[in-house]
Parts: sequence; C-alpha cells; structure tokens
Amino acid sequence: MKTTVGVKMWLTVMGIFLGVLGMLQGGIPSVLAAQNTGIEQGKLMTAVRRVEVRETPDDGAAVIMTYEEGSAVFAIGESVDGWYRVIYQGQEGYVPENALHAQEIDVEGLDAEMAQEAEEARFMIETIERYQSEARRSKIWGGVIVALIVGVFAMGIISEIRGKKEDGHRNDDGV
Amino acid sequence: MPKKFSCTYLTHLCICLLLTATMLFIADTEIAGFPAYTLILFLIVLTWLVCRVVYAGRAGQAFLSIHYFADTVSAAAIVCAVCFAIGKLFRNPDGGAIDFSWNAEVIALALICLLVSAGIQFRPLYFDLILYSSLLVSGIFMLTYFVDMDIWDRANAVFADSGIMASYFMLVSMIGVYGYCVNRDRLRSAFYLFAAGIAFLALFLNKNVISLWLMVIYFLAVPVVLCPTAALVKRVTQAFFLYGLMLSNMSLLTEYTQILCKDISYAPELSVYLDLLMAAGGIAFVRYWDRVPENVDRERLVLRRMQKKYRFLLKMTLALFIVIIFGGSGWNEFPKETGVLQGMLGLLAASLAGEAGRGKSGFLYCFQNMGVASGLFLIFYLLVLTERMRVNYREEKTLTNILILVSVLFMLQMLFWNPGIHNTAVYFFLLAAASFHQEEYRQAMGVRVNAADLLMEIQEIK
Repeated sequence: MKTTVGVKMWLTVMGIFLGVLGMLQGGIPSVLAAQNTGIEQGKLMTAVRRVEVRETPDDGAAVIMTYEEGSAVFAIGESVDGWYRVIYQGQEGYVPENALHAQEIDVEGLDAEMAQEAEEARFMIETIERYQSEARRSKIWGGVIVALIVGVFAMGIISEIRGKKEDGHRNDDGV
Repeated sequence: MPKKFSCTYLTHLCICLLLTATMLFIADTEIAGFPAYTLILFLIVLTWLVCRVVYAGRAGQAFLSIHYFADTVSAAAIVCAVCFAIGKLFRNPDGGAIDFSWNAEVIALALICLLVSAGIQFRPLYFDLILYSSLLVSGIFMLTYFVDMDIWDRANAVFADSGIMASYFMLVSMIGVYGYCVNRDRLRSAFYLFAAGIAFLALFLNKNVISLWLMVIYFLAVPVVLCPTAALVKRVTQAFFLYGLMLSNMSLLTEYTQILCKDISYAPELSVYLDLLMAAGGIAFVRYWDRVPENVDRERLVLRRMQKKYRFLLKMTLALFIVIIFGGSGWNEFPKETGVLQGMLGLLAASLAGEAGRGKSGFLYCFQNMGVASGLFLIFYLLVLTERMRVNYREEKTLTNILILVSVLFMLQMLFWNPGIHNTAVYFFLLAAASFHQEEYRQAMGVRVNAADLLMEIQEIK
C-alpha cells in the first residue's frame, strides 16, 4: 500500500515535473520571441511625401505631428497592417507604410568617409600643435635676441663709464 | 656766451645728431611730399653751417675757406645743385609738385665735405654712436627673421632692399672689428666683438654675396693699411675666424633647423669649403705665430713678413673677385663635379657673379636720376677725394687709415648697388674725415729683429 502510494506520488511529481519541462521547452522560443520583440530593431526611413503621424494606426486618429517630404524618420520594427510605428522625441505614432521609403545606407562609403574625416582631424590637430610649438620657439628666440641686444648695449655703456672714470683717476693722479 | 656753447662743442653736437639720426632713421617716410630723412639731413647740416658762420672769427675759428681742390669741387657742387633747383622752379609753369630731394641731398653732402675740411676733431665717440644706434636696427632686423609676427610687415618693407641693408651692416661690421682690434680694455673689446658679431649675423641673413666678399677683403686689408703689430694681427685674425665660423654654419641654420621664419638658403657644400679654407688658413697662421716669442710686448712687435703675406692674399682675393665679376653668367656652366677645388670655385663664383648681375650700380642710379653730367661730376668728385686720401695716408695714422679703408669699400659698394641716402650720408662723412682729418701721430722707429735673436735676448734678460 505504502509502496503504491509512494509510487503514485513519485509518478505524480515526475509527471508534474515533465509537464512543466515540456511547457517550458515549448514556451521558451515564444518567451524569447516576446523578449526579442521587447528589443525592437529600428531603421532609418525617408518620407516620400508630406505625411501625418497619427496616434493610432487609423486614418481618422488624431494627428501628433507632420513629416515633410524628404524628412528622415526612425521606424520601429516592421510594418503591421500597412502602418509603421515611428518614434520622435520620445513620442510614438503611426505612419502609413506607403509614405516611407527605406534609406539605402552605403556602409562602406560611410566608413571610408568617417576614416577620412578622422584623418583630416588628426592632420589639423598636428598642424595646430606644430604652429603652437613654432610660436613658442619664436617667442624664445625673440627673447634671446632682445636679451642679447640689451646686454651688448649695457656692456658698451658700462665700459664707457668705467673708461671715463679711469681716465678721471689717471688725470687726478697726474695732477 | 657760456664756454660750453663753443663752435667745437656745437659742431660735435651736430655730428652726433647727424650720425644718430642717420643710423636710426632708415625708413622711407615723407613729410608733405618731401623725404623725411633728406629734410632732417639738410636741417642738421644747415645748423652746422650756421654755427660755423656765427662763430667765424672767434677764438681762431675761420670761416669756410677753400684750402684744397676738393673744396672747390664741393663749392661747385653746391652752386650747381642750387642752380638746378632754381631751374626746376622756372621749368614748372603748371605749378605742380617739384622734387627737390636730390638737390637737397647734394647740397647736404657737399656741405658735409666743406665743413669737415674746415677742421673737425674726429672722436672715437662717433664710431660708438654708430654702433649703439645700429644695435636697435640690427635687433629689429633679426627679430623679423626669427619671430613670425604680423607687426613685422612695415619693418619687412623697410628692410626689403638688400643692397641698402648690406651697406648698413657692412659699416657696423667694419667699425666693430676696428674697435675690437685697437681697444685694449677687456669689457670694451667684448662690446665691439659682440656688436661686430651681431652685424655679421645680420649680413648673413641679408644674404648679399658681394657684401660677404667685401668683408673678406676688409679683413685682409686691415693688417695691410694699419701698422701690423702682433696684437693687431692676432685680433683681426680672431675676428676673421669668427666671421668664417659663423658663415660656415649658416647652412646648418637654414637647411637643418626650423628656427628661421623666412625662406633663405645656404648651400651645405659652402660649409664644407669654408671649413677647409679656414683649416688651411689656420694651419698656416699658427705655424707662423709659433715663431712669435711669448714674453714680448705685442703692441711693439711689428710683423712685416705677416703683412707681406696678407698683402699677397689681398691682391689674390681682389684679382679673383674681379675675374669672377667679369666672367658673368658664364660661371654657371663651370663644371663643379670634377674635384674639390673646382667645386669650391664653381660654387663661390656662380653665387658672386649671379649677385653682381642682379644689382643696379649706385653710379647708374645717379646717371638715371640726376643726369649724365651729375653722374660724371660725382665720379670726378670721388676721384679728387681719393687723391686727398692718398696724400693723407700714413701708416702711423691708425684712425685715418681705417677711415680710408672704409671709404674705399664704400666706393666699391657703389659699383654694385645703390647704398641709399641714409648710408651715403654717413659714408660721406667718413670719406670727408678720411680726406681731411689731420690726425696727430708719432713717427715710429723700427728695428728689424730676427725671431731667433729676439728669443735669445729675452732668455738673457731672464
């Protein structure tokens, strides 16, 4: 009797365990999918005409804002029922999918452009640093030249005064 | 009248003012359409003349009299300039602006010669004033090369003419070297040497090749025109060595450092050739100098044999100078790759001949701006003054001889470029002093001594 109860209990526990396990296995992708939809991917699109952003995906819904033709629009996820969900300055809205056109981004071109701009910026920094060091060097040499001229001038004046004093002493001794 | 305001004192004051104003005021500015410096020069010289006239007859001061033929020529120049000025007035019926600047300049320069010949006491202070005034200009000149600032635009315009700046710095160099050679006070000698060194650097930065050659001629000529005492020869050789050392290192400064803001270039081969020449010259000099006994008063020991060698070197350098100038642009095709001597000669000759071909002679400038008659008159005047200098030359007259040497180099400069009115005024004053200054001197008695005998005598005395 005890054995039968024990087995039944064990079987029940095992059954519950397996059931939960089965549920979990079947449900993980959907959970993940649910989590994936939480990390929604966005894409940059362009408005092909003047288009109004509505609160809900309905032509009669209230208008939140308006995109002009050519404006860059950040659409979240894929279109659902012919509407794209867009986000602008923290506000969400809906735009008809025929009003938006996906931007073709030349990734390699952008990389090259960014590399070139980085190179130019580096060159400009080096040039500015070179000009600064040249200006510093010029100031030092300017100071050296001014000190030299003043020193030589002072040398001349001092030697002249000393010479006159010695001549004066010599004349006094002579007298 | 207080004794202080004597004619001599006022003359001395006018000369000091003339030299200081000339050396400081090198910019080409105008006052009411008239060149400012010409006006200043004319006023100072006129003041000097008025002092002379006012004090005529007092305390032995004679009125300007014609003693020499050069005085007659000076008076004729003044009369011609005045007549030309009056002629300009009559030939200008429209009443437009008339340029009297060169008339004023000719009158001022001729008056300087007349007033100097009437008798002045040439003082060493005049050389010192030239050096002190030039220090400021040299400093600004060097700053435009070492410091890159927008405020130098005006200064760069003033320093643009390399001929005028070459004349300016050559004058300072020659006076600095002379002061170093004759002065015995240590601090004073150092002042002269430093002033000369600054002028050398300014000359090298100016990069007028002819001026560099003329300075070499000056160094070789100093022991020839002055009494070649051992002290003088030692000092002039030291200054020459400083000159050569600085010049040979200019290529390092211009090609291998970024210290200078302006674009000037010296060939690196020049450094090598100059170092070789200095080494050879140094060896020859030291071998001769070893024979000079140690415990001998170098002020009284005269090195005649050394003077002969310097005279030979001077003649060779002058001959080479003339040959290269007459060779002209043909030196550019001289092969430089076949050896050291060929390379040296090719490099030196090409640069000198190129510079000579570029410049416009001061005499040509006179012919163009003042007329053929005025140009010929100037040449005649300089020949007359040269004859006066020849008569006034005596080996014992140190100051007169150096004035003569400076004047001769001034006339050589006029062959290659126009020195400008500023430099011409100072050089003319020195030229007049060289021609008319009566320097007191003592005739030296010389005894020819063999070096070996002198050594024995010294040992006997010991």
